[in-house]
Amino acid sequence: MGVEVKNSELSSNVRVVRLSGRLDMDAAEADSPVLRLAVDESPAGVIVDMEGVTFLSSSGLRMLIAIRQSALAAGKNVAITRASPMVCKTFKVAGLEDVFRFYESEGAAVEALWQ
Amino acid sequence: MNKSDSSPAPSDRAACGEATFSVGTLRVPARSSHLSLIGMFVQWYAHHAGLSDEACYELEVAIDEACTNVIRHAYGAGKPGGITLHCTPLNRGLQVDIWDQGIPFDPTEGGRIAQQKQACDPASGGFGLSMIRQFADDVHHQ
Repeated sequence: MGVEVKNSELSSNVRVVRLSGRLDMDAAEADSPVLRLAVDESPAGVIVDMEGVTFLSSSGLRMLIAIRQSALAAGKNVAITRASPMVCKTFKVAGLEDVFRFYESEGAAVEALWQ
Repeated sequence: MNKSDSSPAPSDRAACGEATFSVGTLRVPARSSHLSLIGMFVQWYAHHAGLSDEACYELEVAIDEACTNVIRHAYGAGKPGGITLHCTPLNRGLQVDIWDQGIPFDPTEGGRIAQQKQACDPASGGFGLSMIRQFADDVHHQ
Protein backbone atom coordinates (compact mmCIF):
# COMPACT_ATOMS: atom_id res chain seq x y z
CA MET A 1 0.00 0.00 0.00
CA GLY A 2 1.27 3.46 -0.80
CA VAL A 3 0.16 7.00 -0.08
CA GLU A 4 1.42 10.20 -1.65
CA VAL A 5 0.24 13.75 -1.00
CA LYS A 6 0.70 16.73 -3.29
CA ASN A 7 -0.94 20.05 -4.03
CA SER A 8 -3.52 20.07 -6.77
CA GLU A 9 -2.21 21.73 -9.93
CA LEU A 10 -5.73 22.90 -10.67
CA SER A 11 -6.59 24.51 -7.32
CA SER A 12 -4.09 25.77 -4.75
CA ASN A 13 -6.66 25.21 -1.99
CA VAL A 14 -6.90 21.48 -2.59
CA ARG A 15 -4.57 18.58 -1.71
CA VAL A 16 -4.46 15.40 -3.77
CA VAL A 17 -3.91 12.15 -1.85
CA ARG A 18 -2.91 9.32 -4.16
CA LEU A 19 -3.52 5.87 -2.70
CA SER A 20 -2.23 2.67 -4.23
CA GLY A 21 -2.20 -1.06 -3.62
CA ARG A 22 -4.26 -2.93 -1.08
CA LEU A 23 -6.38 -0.80 1.25
CA ASP A 24 -7.06 -3.24 4.10
CA MET A 25 -6.88 -2.95 7.92
CA ASP A 26 -3.09 -2.82 7.89
CA ALA A 27 -2.90 -0.08 5.25
CA ALA A 28 -5.78 1.90 6.74
CA GLU A 29 -4.03 2.08 10.12
CA ALA A 30 -0.83 3.24 8.44
CA ASP A 31 -2.45 5.74 6.05
CA SER A 32 -5.02 7.37 8.36
CA PRO A 33 -2.57 9.90 9.91
CA VAL A 34 -1.37 10.94 6.45
CA LEU A 35 -4.89 11.54 5.17
CA ARG A 36 -5.90 13.33 8.34
CA LEU A 37 -2.90 15.66 8.03
CA ALA A 38 -3.73 16.31 4.37
CA VAL A 39 -7.28 17.32 5.34
CA ASP A 40 -6.01 19.52 8.20
CA GLU A 41 -3.47 21.27 5.99
CA SER A 42 -5.74 21.78 3.00
CA PRO A 43 -7.56 25.12 2.91
CA ALA A 44 -10.58 23.69 1.06
CA GLY A 45 -10.40 19.90 1.03
CA VAL A 46 -8.82 16.82 -0.52
CA ILE A 47 -9.13 14.68 -3.61
CA VAL A 48 -8.52 11.00 -2.89
CA ASP A 49 -7.14 9.51 -6.09
CA MET A 50 -7.90 5.78 -6.00
CA GLU A 51 -6.71 4.78 -9.45
CA GLY A 52 -3.92 2.65 -7.97
CA VAL A 53 -6.08 0.95 -5.32
CA THR A 54 -6.46 -2.73 -6.18
CA PHE A 55 -8.43 -3.84 -3.12
CA LEU A 56 -10.72 -2.04 -0.68
CA SER A 57 -12.08 -3.54 2.54
CA SER A 58 -14.39 -2.11 5.20
CA SER A 59 -11.31 -0.94 7.12
CA GLY A 60 -10.43 1.29 4.18
CA LEU A 61 -14.03 2.49 4.04
CA ARG A 62 -13.91 3.38 7.74
CA MET A 63 -10.79 5.43 7.16
CA LEU A 64 -12.40 7.31 4.28
CA ILE A 65 -15.60 7.93 6.27
CA ALA A 66 -13.58 9.35 9.17
CA ILE A 67 -11.65 11.61 6.79
CA ARG A 68 -14.86 12.80 5.20
CA GLN A 69 -16.37 13.51 8.63
CA SER A 70 -13.41 15.58 9.78
CA ALA A 71 -13.33 17.48 6.48
CA LEU A 72 -17.03 18.31 6.59
CA ALA A 73 -16.74 19.39 10.23
CA ALA A 74 -14.08 21.88 9.12
CA GLY A 75 -16.19 23.13 6.21
CA LYS A 76 -14.10 21.28 3.61
CA ASN A 77 -14.93 18.80 0.84
CA VAL A 78 -13.66 15.33 -0.03
CA ALA A 79 -13.80 13.93 -3.56
CA ILE A 80 -12.90 10.44 -4.75
CA THR A 81 -11.48 10.05 -8.23
CA ARG A 82 -10.65 7.23 -10.63
CA ALA A 83 -11.89 4.35 -8.47
CA SER A 84 -12.04 1.04 -10.37
CA PRO A 85 -15.37 -0.76 -10.87
CA MET A 86 -14.36 -3.36 -8.24
CA VAL A 87 -13.50 -0.68 -5.70
CA CYS A 88 -16.75 1.15 -6.51
CA LYS A 89 -18.60 -2.09 -5.83
CA THR A 90 -17.24 -2.14 -2.27
CA PHE A 91 -18.67 1.35 -1.72
CA LYS A 92 -21.98 0.23 -3.21
CA VAL A 93 -22.31 -2.96 -1.16
CA ALA A 94 -21.66 -0.92 1.99
CA GLY A 95 -24.39 1.51 0.96
CA LEU A 96 -21.94 4.40 0.60
CA GLU A 97 -22.20 5.15 -3.12
CA ASP A 98 -24.39 8.18 -2.39
CA VAL A 99 -22.37 9.32 0.63
CA PHE A 100 -19.13 10.04 -1.23
CA ARG A 101 -18.69 12.14 -4.37
CA PHE A 102 -17.04 10.21 -7.20
CA TYR A 103 -15.40 11.80 -10.24
CA GLU A 104 -13.53 10.51 -13.26
CA SER A 105 -10.67 12.98 -12.95
CA GLU A 106 -9.06 15.61 -10.75
CA GLY A 107 -10.31 18.26 -13.17
CA ALA A 108 -13.90 17.10 -12.89
CA ALA A 109 -13.69 17.06 -9.08
CA VAL A 110 -12.18 20.54 -8.87
CA GLU A 111 -14.74 21.91 -11.29
CA ALA A 112 -17.64 20.38 -9.35
CA LEU A 113 -16.54 21.16 -5.79
CA TRP A 114 -14.03 23.98 -5.77
CA GLN A 115 -14.91 26.40 -8.59
CA MET B 1 -17.95 -19.74 3.22
CA ASN B 2 -18.60 -20.69 -0.39
CA LYS B 3 -18.32 -18.86 -3.68
CA SER B 4 -19.41 -20.38 -6.98
CA ASP B 5 -19.27 -19.47 -10.64
CA SER B 6 -20.36 -20.79 -14.03
CA SER B 7 -16.85 -21.61 -15.31
CA PRO B 8 -15.81 -25.22 -16.08
CA ALA B 9 -15.26 -27.36 -13.00
CA PRO B 10 -11.65 -28.26 -12.07
CA SER B 11 -12.33 -31.90 -12.91
CA ASP B 12 -13.39 -30.86 -16.44
CA ARG B 13 -10.19 -28.87 -16.89
CA ALA B 14 -8.10 -31.82 -15.69
CA ALA B 15 -9.73 -33.96 -18.36
CA CYS B 16 -8.56 -31.39 -20.92
CA GLY B 17 -4.97 -31.78 -19.76
CA GLU B 18 -4.81 -28.68 -17.53
CA ALA B 19 -3.15 -28.71 -14.12
CA THR B 20 -5.49 -29.33 -11.20
CA PHE B 21 -5.18 -28.69 -7.48
CA SER B 22 -6.68 -29.90 -4.22
CA VAL B 23 -7.21 -28.66 -0.68
CA GLY B 24 -4.77 -26.02 0.51
CA THR B 25 -4.00 -24.79 4.02
CA LEU B 26 -2.49 -21.54 5.26
CA ARG B 27 -1.64 -20.84 8.91
CA VAL B 28 -0.63 -17.31 9.87
CA PRO B 29 -0.42 -15.22 13.05
CA ALA B 30 -3.60 -13.17 13.58
CA ARG B 31 -2.05 -9.84 12.63
CA SER B 32 -3.17 -7.25 10.11
CA SER B 33 0.23 -7.45 8.40
CA HIS B 34 -0.72 -10.97 7.22
CA LEU B 35 -3.98 -9.94 5.50
CA SER B 36 -2.25 -9.39 2.17
CA LEU B 37 -0.78 -12.92 2.31
CA ILE B 38 -4.24 -14.29 3.10
CA GLY B 39 -5.59 -12.32 0.14
CA MET B 40 -2.98 -13.78 -2.23
CA PHE B 41 -3.68 -17.30 -0.94
CA VAL B 42 -7.43 -16.98 -1.50
CA GLN B 43 -6.99 -15.27 -4.89
CA TRP B 44 -4.75 -18.09 -6.09
CA TYR B 45 -7.26 -20.78 -5.15
CA ALA B 46 -10.22 -18.77 -6.42
CA HIS B 47 -8.59 -18.28 -9.83
CA HIS B 48 -7.64 -21.95 -10.07
CA ALA B 49 -11.17 -22.91 -9.07
CA GLY B 50 -12.30 -21.11 -12.20
CA LEU B 51 -13.98 -18.11 -10.58
CA SER B 52 -14.24 -14.92 -12.64
CA ASP B 53 -12.07 -11.93 -11.75
CA GLU B 54 -15.09 -10.26 -10.17
CA ALA B 55 -15.98 -13.34 -8.11
CA CYS B 56 -12.34 -13.71 -7.02
CA TYR B 57 -12.32 -10.11 -5.82
CA GLU B 58 -15.62 -10.52 -3.97
CA LEU B 59 -14.41 -13.68 -2.25
CA GLU B 60 -11.14 -11.98 -1.27
CA VAL B 61 -13.11 -9.12 0.29
CA ALA B 62 -15.36 -11.55 2.19
CA ILE B 63 -12.38 -13.51 3.53
CA ASP B 64 -10.49 -10.32 4.42
CA GLU B 65 -13.50 -9.07 6.37
CA ALA B 66 -13.83 -12.35 8.27
CA CYS B 67 -10.11 -12.44 9.12
CA THR B 68 -10.13 -8.76 10.09
CA ASN B 69 -12.95 -9.54 12.52
CA VAL B 70 -10.89 -12.37 13.99
CA ILE B 71 -7.89 -10.06 14.45
CA ARG B 72 -9.94 -7.16 15.79
CA HIS B 73 -12.57 -8.92 17.90
CA ALA B 74 -11.77 -12.60 18.50
CA TYR B 75 -8.24 -11.95 19.70
CA GLY B 76 -8.18 -8.21 20.31
CA ALA B 77 -5.27 -5.81 20.26
CA GLY B 78 -1.90 -7.43 20.85
CA LYS B 79 -3.33 -10.78 21.93
CA PRO B 80 -1.41 -13.66 20.32
CA GLY B 81 -3.21 -16.23 18.23
CA GLY B 82 -3.41 -17.75 14.80
CA ILE B 83 -5.73 -18.03 11.83
CA THR B 84 -5.95 -21.18 9.72
CA LEU B 85 -7.56 -21.16 6.29
CA HIS B 86 -8.56 -24.23 4.27
CA CYS B 87 -9.42 -23.76 0.60
CA THR B 88 -11.42 -26.64 -0.88
CA PRO B 89 -12.30 -26.69 -4.59
CA LEU B 90 -15.95 -27.48 -5.22
CA ASN B 91 -17.57 -28.66 -8.44
CA ARG B 92 -18.00 -25.05 -9.59
CA GLY B 93 -16.63 -22.84 -6.88
CA LEU B 94 -14.49 -22.69 -3.78
CA GLN B 95 -15.12 -23.32 -0.09
CA VAL B 96 -12.95 -21.42 2.38
CA ASP B 97 -12.93 -22.49 6.04
CA ILE B 98 -11.45 -20.07 8.59
CA TRP B 99 -10.42 -21.32 12.02
CA ASP B 100 -9.29 -19.41 15.08
CA GLN B 101 -8.96 -20.00 18.83
CA GLY B 102 -10.25 -16.60 19.92
CA ILE B 103 -13.45 -15.50 21.60
CA PRO B 104 -16.41 -17.31 19.96
CA PHE B 105 -18.45 -15.20 17.55
CA ASP B 106 -22.23 -14.87 17.94
CA PRO B 107 -23.67 -13.87 14.52
CA THR B 108 -26.91 -12.55 16.03
CA GLU B 109 -25.14 -10.36 18.57
CA GLY B 110 -22.51 -9.38 15.98
CA GLY B 111 -25.23 -8.28 13.56
CA ARG B 112 -26.93 -6.21 16.24
CA ILE B 113 -23.69 -4.43 17.17
CA ALA B 114 -22.91 -3.81 13.50
CA GLN B 115 -26.31 -2.16 12.96
CA GLN B 116 -25.77 0.01 16.04
CA LYS B 117 -22.36 1.14 14.80
CA GLN B 118 -23.68 2.05 11.36
CA ALA B 119 -26.57 3.99 12.86
CA CYS B 120 -24.52 5.90 15.45
CA ASP B 121 -21.17 6.43 13.73
CA PRO B 122 -20.33 4.71 10.42
CA ALA B 123 -16.63 5.52 10.96
CA SER B 124 -16.66 3.07 13.88
CA GLY B 125 -17.42 0.18 11.52
CA GLY B 126 -20.21 -2.32 11.12
CA PHE B 127 -19.85 -2.92 7.36
CA GLY B 128 -17.83 -6.12 7.45
CA LEU B 129 -20.57 -8.61 8.28
CA SER B 130 -22.96 -7.37 5.61
CA MET B 131 -20.14 -7.37 3.05
CA ILE B 132 -19.34 -11.00 3.91
CA ARG B 133 -22.98 -11.99 3.46
CA GLN B 134 -23.32 -10.12 0.17
CA PHE B 135 -20.03 -11.24 -1.38
CA ALA B 136 -20.13 -14.93 -0.39
CA ASP B 137 -22.82 -17.33 -1.60
CA ASP B 138 -23.02 -19.26 1.63
CA VAL B 139 -21.75 -18.41 5.14
CA HIS B 140 -21.76 -20.60 8.25
CA HIS B 141 -20.46 -19.99 11.77
CA GLN B 142 -19.66 -22.65 14.35
